[in-house]
Amino acid sequence: MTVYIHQDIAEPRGELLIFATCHGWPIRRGLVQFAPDFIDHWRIHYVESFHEAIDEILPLLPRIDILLAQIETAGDAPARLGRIRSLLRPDARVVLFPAIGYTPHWPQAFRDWNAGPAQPGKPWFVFGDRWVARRARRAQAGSEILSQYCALDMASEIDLDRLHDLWRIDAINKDRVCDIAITDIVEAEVRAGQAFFSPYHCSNRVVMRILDRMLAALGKQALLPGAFQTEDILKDFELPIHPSVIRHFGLTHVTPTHRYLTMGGGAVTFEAFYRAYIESFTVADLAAATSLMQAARFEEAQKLLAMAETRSGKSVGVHLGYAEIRTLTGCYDAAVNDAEAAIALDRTDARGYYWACHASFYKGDYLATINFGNACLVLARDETPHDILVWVADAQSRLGLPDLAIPAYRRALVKWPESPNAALGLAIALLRTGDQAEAQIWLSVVEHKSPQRLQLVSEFNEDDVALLKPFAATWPLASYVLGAKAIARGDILTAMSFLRTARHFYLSRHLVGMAEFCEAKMPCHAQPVLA
Amino acid sequence: MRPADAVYQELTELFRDLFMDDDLVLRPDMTADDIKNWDSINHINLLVAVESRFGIRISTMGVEKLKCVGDLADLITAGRV
Repeated sequence: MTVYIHQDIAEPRGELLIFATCHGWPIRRGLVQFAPDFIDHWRIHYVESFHEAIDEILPLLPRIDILLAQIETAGDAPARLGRIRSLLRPDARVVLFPAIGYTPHWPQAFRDWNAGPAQPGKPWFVFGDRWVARRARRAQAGSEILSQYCALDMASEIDLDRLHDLWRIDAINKDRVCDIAITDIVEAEVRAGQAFFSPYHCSNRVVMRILDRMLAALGKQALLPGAFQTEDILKDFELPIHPSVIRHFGLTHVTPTHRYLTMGGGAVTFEAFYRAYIESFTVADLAAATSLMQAARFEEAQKLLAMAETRSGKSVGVHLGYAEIRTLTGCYDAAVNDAEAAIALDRTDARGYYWACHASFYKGDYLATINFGNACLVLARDETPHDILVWVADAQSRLGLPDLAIPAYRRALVKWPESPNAALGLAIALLRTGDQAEAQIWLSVVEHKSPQRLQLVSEFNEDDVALLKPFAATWPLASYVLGAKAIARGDILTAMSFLRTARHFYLSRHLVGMAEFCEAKMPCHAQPVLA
Repeated sequence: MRPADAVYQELTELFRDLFMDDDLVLRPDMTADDIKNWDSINHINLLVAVESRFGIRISTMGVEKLKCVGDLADLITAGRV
């Protein structure tokens, strides 16, 4: 919890605590800069009431002379503030004031906790829109949703006048349990112009009028006029208002072509805002599909990709999603096609080259692996995944170019020293150049990786095995790696043969792990490794 | 089907639609604390949606008394009589 304190240089005359939502910010500024009775000699504390844990402010309470406390709903005032009030001195003054909000301009707004992650240059969605979200989740085409939404007459969906009436009734109910009423101020300001930027964030003018009323309740002087001309603290973004709502309420401060302030300082039209909102569902679906693929839940991932495709067409993200799922399920030709389609749409996106490189490698097209991999390395720069370096190096090694491969493996090992693939690839490339001494060092590194990991990440390759085999009888680590590779291709008998050779020289924790794995699967006539 | 069950069935559909949660199962004792997105914005939207769906008019006192799903169901039942 953060307690924001303003302390004047002079000796404090009293201490005031604001316990409120975001509205506490402009209230604090109003008191510190524009309230004649508070500008000097008062310590102003502001505690954001979003936080549930109020324990940290409890020691402060016996010192407080004035508490300005905001309630959320008419019913929560006693429960929410009871503990705080009980710790105040008997002579402390308390002013309860209601939550400040106005919702009828945004009849479909809701807190969309599922909205996709913010993308560079795109609006950030604090609020979602139910009408749009329902259709986007049903995978309707995005362009269709947008055109229907723009043409919608909101009054035909929701009784907007009744929405205002019920807002008013609810607001007056909150006023009744507070020490000051604010509904008349909010209504008057909403009629006069842009009083709210989103359902809860209002202009400083609204807050200052409310603060003035609190000061009057305390018997203090009114705010200086400058308070009403301050820059709006809570204008961090504007939630677009539907054109039909603008017409219905006869709003003059916005027009259908108004450009709304977005988080981060941009400005977009209503249509652009909701186009981006619809796209955010695709971003979220693609991110979820990637997570599902990583968990090998390919069918569910495929459904999300299909939904994203219906909504957004064959976008870069959709092509990349298909490239990923097809690579991970072994459909390498199709994966390369999808990755190339993504590249065709955006040649500056390194991800297309990444998946093209990945799929080409598994497909056995090593020239393509090197070309796509190099393009990815150029575009991704410092963000280059180390596996791209390893695929490129493996491709070079397998094309008989170990002198090119060795530096690439070394770069990969600088980025990820724990990479068993890079260490194994480097060992094999060194063997190809005849450098047996260093090859043995890197095989030793591989040996220290867990066998499970090695089986998962190392790719069985007959050339590599052929290269290592001559050393199996004399290098226990070569035997170990050959054993791991045999396990990876499911050849348990061969694996056990290599592991027995390695066992003849040494016994490590990982070798025991691999041996136990094999013995559990061993045909009964096989000779055990560990006996 | 008993009238109360029918009200809860319709209310469940309405809540699921309004609060964007297809798995929501209503209980009479549920309050705004139990339902994600039942905040002050959606509270007013909920009242308008209930009025429209059930063809009732919620009084000022009804709004004030409304604390949980059971209260809402009672208001609907009373409003339909």
